[in-house]
Amino acid sequence: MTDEELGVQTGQAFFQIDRDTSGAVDFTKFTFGMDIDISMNSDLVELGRYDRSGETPGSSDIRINDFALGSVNNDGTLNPFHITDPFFELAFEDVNGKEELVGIRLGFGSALGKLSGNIESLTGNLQVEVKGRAEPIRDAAGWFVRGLLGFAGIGDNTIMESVNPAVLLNPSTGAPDPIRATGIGLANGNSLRCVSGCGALSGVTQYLTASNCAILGISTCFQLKNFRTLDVGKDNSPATGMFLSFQTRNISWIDNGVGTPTVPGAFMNIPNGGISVDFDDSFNGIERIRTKFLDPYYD
Amino acid sequence: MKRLFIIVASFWPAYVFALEPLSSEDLSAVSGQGGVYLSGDITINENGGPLNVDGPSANGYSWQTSCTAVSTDKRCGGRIAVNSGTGGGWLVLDNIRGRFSFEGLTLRTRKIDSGFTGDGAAFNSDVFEIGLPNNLNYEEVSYTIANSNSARPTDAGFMQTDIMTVNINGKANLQGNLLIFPTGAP
Amino acid sequence: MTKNIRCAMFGVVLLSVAAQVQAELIGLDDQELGAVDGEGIGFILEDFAFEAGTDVANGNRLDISGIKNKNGQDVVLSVSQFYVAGAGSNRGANVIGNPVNLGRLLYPYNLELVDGDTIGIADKAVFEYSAPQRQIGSVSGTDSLLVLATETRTEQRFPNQQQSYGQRVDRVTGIDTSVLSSRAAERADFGIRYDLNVAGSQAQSLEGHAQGVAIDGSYIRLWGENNEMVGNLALKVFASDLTFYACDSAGNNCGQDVRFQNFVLENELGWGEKQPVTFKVDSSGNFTIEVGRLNSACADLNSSGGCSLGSAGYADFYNNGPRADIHIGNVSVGGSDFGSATISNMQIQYLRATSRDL
Repeated sequence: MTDEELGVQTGQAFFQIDRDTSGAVDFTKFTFGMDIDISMNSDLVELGRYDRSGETPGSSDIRINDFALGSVNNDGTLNPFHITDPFFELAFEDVNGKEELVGIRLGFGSALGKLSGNIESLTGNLQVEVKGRAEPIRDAAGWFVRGLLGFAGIGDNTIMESVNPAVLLNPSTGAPDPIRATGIGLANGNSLRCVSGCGALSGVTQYLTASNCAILGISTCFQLKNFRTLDVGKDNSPATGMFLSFQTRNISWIDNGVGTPTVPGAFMNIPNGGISVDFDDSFNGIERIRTKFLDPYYD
Repeated sequence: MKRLFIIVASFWPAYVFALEPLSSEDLSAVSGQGGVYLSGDITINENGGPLNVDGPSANGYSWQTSCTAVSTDKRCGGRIAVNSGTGGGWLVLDNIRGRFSFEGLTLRTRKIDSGFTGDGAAFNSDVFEIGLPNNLNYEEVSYTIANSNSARPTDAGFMQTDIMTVNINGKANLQGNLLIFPTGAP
Repeated sequence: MTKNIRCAMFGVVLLSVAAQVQAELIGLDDQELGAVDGEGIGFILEDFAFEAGTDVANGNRLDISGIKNKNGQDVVLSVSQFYVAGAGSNRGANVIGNPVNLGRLLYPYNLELVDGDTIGIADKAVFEYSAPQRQIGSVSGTDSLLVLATETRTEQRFPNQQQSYGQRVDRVTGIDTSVLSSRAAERADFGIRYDLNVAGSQAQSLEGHAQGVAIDGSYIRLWGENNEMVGNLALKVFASDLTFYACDSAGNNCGQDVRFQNFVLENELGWGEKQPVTFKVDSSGNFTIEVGRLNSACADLNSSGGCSLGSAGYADFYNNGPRADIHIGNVSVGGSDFGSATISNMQIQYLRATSRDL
């Protein structure tokens, strides 16, 4: 065995510290090389409970009731939530010659599994791909619109998707609202497009844009708390970029060279492409999965 | 006060033995005279330990190496490996090196029946008191915290995860007494 | 045996503690167990203060190295001060000469071989190292510092499906320090200043200072099970004030304080022998920490994986099992408040964390 080989053998490291700079902000990131399986429940996850201008008194930046990671399978076994490479990061900014600590975040290299809870309010970034059979859209439409859709060649089995992902918004106006959001859906200006099984005229749907939470009278905004279990990661491949942060000013946290802008206060990022729902889910919400062996939602 | 200087200039295990001669008999004898004053000086592989002098050299690889005080060669320090369960791996303190010394650690028994914001009177009993020295002196003390699949680096298929290395040099200041006493049902 | 000699013997036991490290914690037989009678060794630190890493200019050093960044460069955390002192340490300026008592004569740190039958670990002698015990709080009504307000939650898992009903934590309404045995004068100030050095050049300086710290109620319990060491542990930390701030690479031009008031961490891991915590190192040199999977306590399962028969064991776990609560009373930065943060009644049904090479 040479010295180099010895070095390799004893050089395994599970802890890494990185320094990065982006604009005026410096970052120090502490990464732990770990594979984690967890199954847990919590009565309450609430971050940033303070009165914030323009928001309901007594509300919080993030409040999730009956929070859970992982699920219980039908055969009574646990299906844990998978996390790899958790990290802890600090952000610093030089403000008038003073070195200020302006943000902290807890993030995961990747995440995969069921995240359950009643999301009462969420400050952050939750982007959901909406894609699936058009039947629920046709069911939700009035007779006149259904006729129009039929005329455009959109049948029950036509696959449609939203042009842009669904985002956090004000569920009565359809305006994007990343702060203490209670709703999610197609923001004003977003539209649907046809993916497959399309008729000759189905391209016309993308000119029908969402406005005030509706496209042709079909509701496109939903209560966040109806999405009771979110599948983090898609098709069994983990989502990257999931994090929970707190910052005192607008900071763009960097992952793999791409920034995620955040607002002051507590912030939760569930990354783009991490979650996908069909139209049935988006209209009816998502059923909460069993998360306890003795679960008040089931037993 | 009876003074007892214990100077140890050897590798780690000697540390334990060096403190052994104080039997309970000795201690009870000296406590009547006001206690014991201890100084210690521990040197661990400051210039390399026995393994790298007599280490194996099979398989085309020599475990033997020349160690100086500044060498960071992993073959130079002491190693303690503890097994956490049958067939499992080892928790390791590796590459233990340096010199550690203190002067003025005191040992005595003491009766406490007052003070301690009211606790003393209720306690009303004897304690064994270790008076901490004012300084701990470190000279290039270092050790690595690690996990390994085998006790010795020379074992076949040796693998190890180093978590971190701690280096200490200079003086740590402290004050106070460590009080030790029996608890629970008498 | 006189008490003097007993005390002296305990001292010798302490001094040879290094030799105990390899002692295997195997089960004692019934006869030996009968001899485990709840006697232990108490420890307190009287008039204690400690300070390390200071006076870097004169060659003092307390470094944590062996860490790399993603480019493989060496990263060193250089601690320029670590201290433990009494209240009023003024962020580490007043350490030696400003001592604190850690532990009380009546509620000391305690090392004891406990009869496992009394703590839910049948027929085992359990090695326990515990911090000062906690009291039942006059306001919280439990041994938790958190005064909790509960609410009745009636929510459906899906439209037209089962409605959940039950009392759950709504928020924290207060901090009950009567739970702590350690009185104000027995709560320490802790702090650390460190510099981050990347590839030989100074990059950042950060300071963290904690005031009024008590770890009452914490414990570690170890015993042997199938020739393996298993345990339960509880980490309970209270700090009346935690302050962090950054300075430039030279340690100057420090920014404003990021302040956490009334920080409470109450974390229990493992539940007797029903949910042991294990720590293992595997053949690749990686380690695994596991909080045991709850074993099936059901006599019969229903179609969704719940208990149709014999759910008492789980009911006990969810009502009385180990839990974690984390609370920060208020986060403030400069003059702005960012309010409280709470994670309450977190229960781990399974956790497995394995290290891997980055």
